[in-house]
Amino acid sequence: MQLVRYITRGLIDGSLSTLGIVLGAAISGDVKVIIAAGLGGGMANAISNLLGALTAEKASVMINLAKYERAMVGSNIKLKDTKIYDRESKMIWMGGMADATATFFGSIVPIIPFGLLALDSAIIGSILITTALLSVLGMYIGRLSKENLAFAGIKMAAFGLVTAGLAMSLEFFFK
Amino acid sequence: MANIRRLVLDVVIPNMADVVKLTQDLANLATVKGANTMVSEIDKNVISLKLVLEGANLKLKEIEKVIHSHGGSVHSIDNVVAGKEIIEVVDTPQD
Repeated sequence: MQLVRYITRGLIDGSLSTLGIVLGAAISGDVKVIIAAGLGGGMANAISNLLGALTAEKASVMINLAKYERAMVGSNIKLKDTKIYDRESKMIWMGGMADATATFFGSIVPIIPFGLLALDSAIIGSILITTALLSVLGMYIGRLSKENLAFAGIKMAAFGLVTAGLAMSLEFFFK
Repeated sequence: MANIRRLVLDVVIPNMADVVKLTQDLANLATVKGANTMVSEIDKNVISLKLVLEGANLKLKEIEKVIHSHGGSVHSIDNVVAGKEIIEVVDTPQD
């Protein structure tokens, strides 16, 4: 269940941020630049999420362990030397790797149309395919949280459309 | 020195520890024939356990090592049975 959370988060993060990158880079009109910017952004985002898990989440685990050590009155046990720490470290690594991998795969989604279609069609295709992925993820989250599926899907798709709108508005400032 | 055949320990572990795994690891020790873990108290951050271990020649040090590896600590040794066989506590008229 924990891993599913990281995978869902990574897919949303990767697809949404790369949609912004490719639509922003679309101002160049050069498909190679768009694909390179999307892939570069996706990779950087994946590495950033891995680093985030290994640093911020590790710090959070250490704070938690210190709280438990204080609660173990009369014992001078260091939880860093225990199986609890080993298990938590493994979870951080697995979570970070799942997040990073999902982020990278999510970031490929908005790029795909640029490898298959002409620029104008690819822009529309990229928005549509990303919005579709986001609405499926939204419905999945909605099912887990027992929300209305249609509302959850539309809500997530709206985030995709807002991101697309903001990224495309850059064209007015830079062109 | 007579062999220790039964130990009853009062153990405290953080409540994020895996009680099932702890019991299995204790039971996996070569000197332990069986392990029984009973949760006696659950606090906000810690769990108190009553741990009963039986075997032909229990080694307290190696048992403590396993408990420590799960983040636990032995609060007290509540019962020790040693010798050629297990002698149960008998009720007397005074009880």
